[in-house]
Amino acid sequence: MEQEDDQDNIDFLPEAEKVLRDVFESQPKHSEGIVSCEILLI
Amino acid sequence: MKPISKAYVDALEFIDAVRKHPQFQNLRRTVGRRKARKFELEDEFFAEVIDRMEQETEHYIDWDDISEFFTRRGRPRTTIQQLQQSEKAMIDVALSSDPEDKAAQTTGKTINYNYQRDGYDSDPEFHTYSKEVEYEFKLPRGQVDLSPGKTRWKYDIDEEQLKHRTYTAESSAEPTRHDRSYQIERPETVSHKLSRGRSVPHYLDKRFGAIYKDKNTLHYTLPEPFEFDSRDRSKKKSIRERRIEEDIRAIREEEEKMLKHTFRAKSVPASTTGRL
Repeated sequence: MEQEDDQDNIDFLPEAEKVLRDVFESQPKHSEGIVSCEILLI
Repeated sequence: MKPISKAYVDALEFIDAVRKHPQFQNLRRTVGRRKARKFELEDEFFAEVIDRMEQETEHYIDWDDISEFFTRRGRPRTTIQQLQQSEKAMIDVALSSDPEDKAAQTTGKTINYNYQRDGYDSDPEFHTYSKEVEYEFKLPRGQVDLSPGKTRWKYDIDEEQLKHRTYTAESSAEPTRHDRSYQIERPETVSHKLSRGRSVPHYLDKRFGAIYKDKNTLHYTLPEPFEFDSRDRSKKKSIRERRIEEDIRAIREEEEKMLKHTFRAKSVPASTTGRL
């Protein structure tokens, strides 16, 4: 059971997660529909 | 927590922005993720995970996928599936190709190219070969270079003779008239013997062609492996390559096992042989 849970563990520092989250929120967002349309066009 | 998981961002722009973040330099050598028990990806620093994300991610990425790159699994499940599919396709291609060539490419098997002829006639008039050229090309580590478009052969060369010739060539780089040793050691060409005998000087001999040339006067090109080639050779095999090789080996073993299987009939049951 422990082996199943192991792969989803996250070990990075909270500061790193904060950086990622800040950057993600600062980026322009695309909705799921637009993304899938662009992928289809490509 | 804000529900940001359904929004997508441009992956490359996101990665660039992370690298330009003021705290990135402080965090780059911190733990990005640790190795999972079931997966082969080793421990990585934060910057290494970002680098790998740049290589493996698609054009757009959402928050869930970003977090999955930092899990011990190391990749989103969809990426893992895509990798497995591409590996399977590569295995199929490898199995459908010529096994001899594949073995040569993967295991560095030495192929004997000796006693093949070159593509040119020695005698352009009669289209005959003066002799069969013995081809041999071995890299310093004893492996045949199989890269396409690269010269594979060299002529059969007596190493002692080669040393001697290079020595004489160096010593007689600029021969003078008074240099007797140069005049004495100067080799006679084959053409003397073939055409007019020893009495006729070589400059009167009008014969021309490869078969009339003396072996000692030929200049050989010694192919050497390129630096980038040796660099590739010493490079460690990637996980994908190792997996493919293992899978191919397993499939081959399974096939061998099936081919060597002997069917044995069971003994006739007692109900058949015995009296009713």
